Amino acid sequence: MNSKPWSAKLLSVACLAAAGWLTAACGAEGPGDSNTADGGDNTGDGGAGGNIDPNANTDGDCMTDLEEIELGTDPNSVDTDGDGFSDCDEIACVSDPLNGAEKCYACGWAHNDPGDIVTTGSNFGDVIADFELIDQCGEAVSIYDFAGSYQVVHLVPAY
Amino acid sequence: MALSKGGSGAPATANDAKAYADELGLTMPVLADGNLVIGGLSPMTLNTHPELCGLAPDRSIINCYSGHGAYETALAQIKIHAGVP
Repeated sequence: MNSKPWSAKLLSVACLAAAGWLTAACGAEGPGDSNTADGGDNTGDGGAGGNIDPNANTDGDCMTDLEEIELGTDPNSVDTDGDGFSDCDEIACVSDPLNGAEKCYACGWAHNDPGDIVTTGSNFGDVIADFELIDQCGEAVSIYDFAGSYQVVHLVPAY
Repeated sequence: MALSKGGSGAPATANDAKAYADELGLTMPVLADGNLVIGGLSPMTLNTHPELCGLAPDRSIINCYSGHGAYETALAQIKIHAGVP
C-alpha cells in the first residue's frame, strides 16, 4: 500500500503514457482535457498540452518531460529534490522525489509513511508515536515507514 | 526485530544490528533501540525478554506479549485482527 500523492500521480502518468497522452481512455484528467469543447480532438490542437512533445526527455532519465510535469518533478533535472538520488531511483525505491529529506534507504525499505498518521497514545489500541531506530545498514529508520502492513516489534538483547 | 542491547551488554548500535542480522541471516529490519525509546512509546515494560508488540497497518498497537509462546500468540492475534482464519 502506498497512498503518497506522487505515487498516485505516477499511476496517472503511466495511464496517460499508455493512452498516447490526452485521451480519455484511462479517465485521467490531463492538462489538455479542458480542450474537449473543440470536438474532442485533444492532440496537437494548440491547447494546453498541444505544444509538448510527448516523447521528449530533456534530462534523459526514465521519464518523458510530460510524465515529469504530471508527477511534479523537473524535466530538466535527473534529481529534482537534489538529495543525491535520481528521481527514477527514488520512484523505484518508494521514496519521494520531491522531498530532499526523504532518500532511498540503503537496506531497501520502502517509505510507506502515508503522511497522515495521527498518534493517539502508547497503550493497546492506540496509534503509536513515530520513532526512529538504527537499522543494520546504519541508517535511522522511521517506524511509520513500515505502515501498511502488520509487524511484530520483537525487542531482544543481542546476547 | 529491535535490539535493546548489543552483544557486550551496552546499548545496541548499528554494528550490533548488522552483526545480529548477519548471524541469523535476516533480511528483515533489525533495528538498534539503544536508547530504549520503544519502552516509553508502547506498553513494553523492558523487564522481561523477549517482549513483543503487534502493530497494525495503521500503526495501532494490537497487543503486547512476553514469555513462552509470546511470538505464536502475537501472530495469532494479528491473524484475528486481519480477519485471516
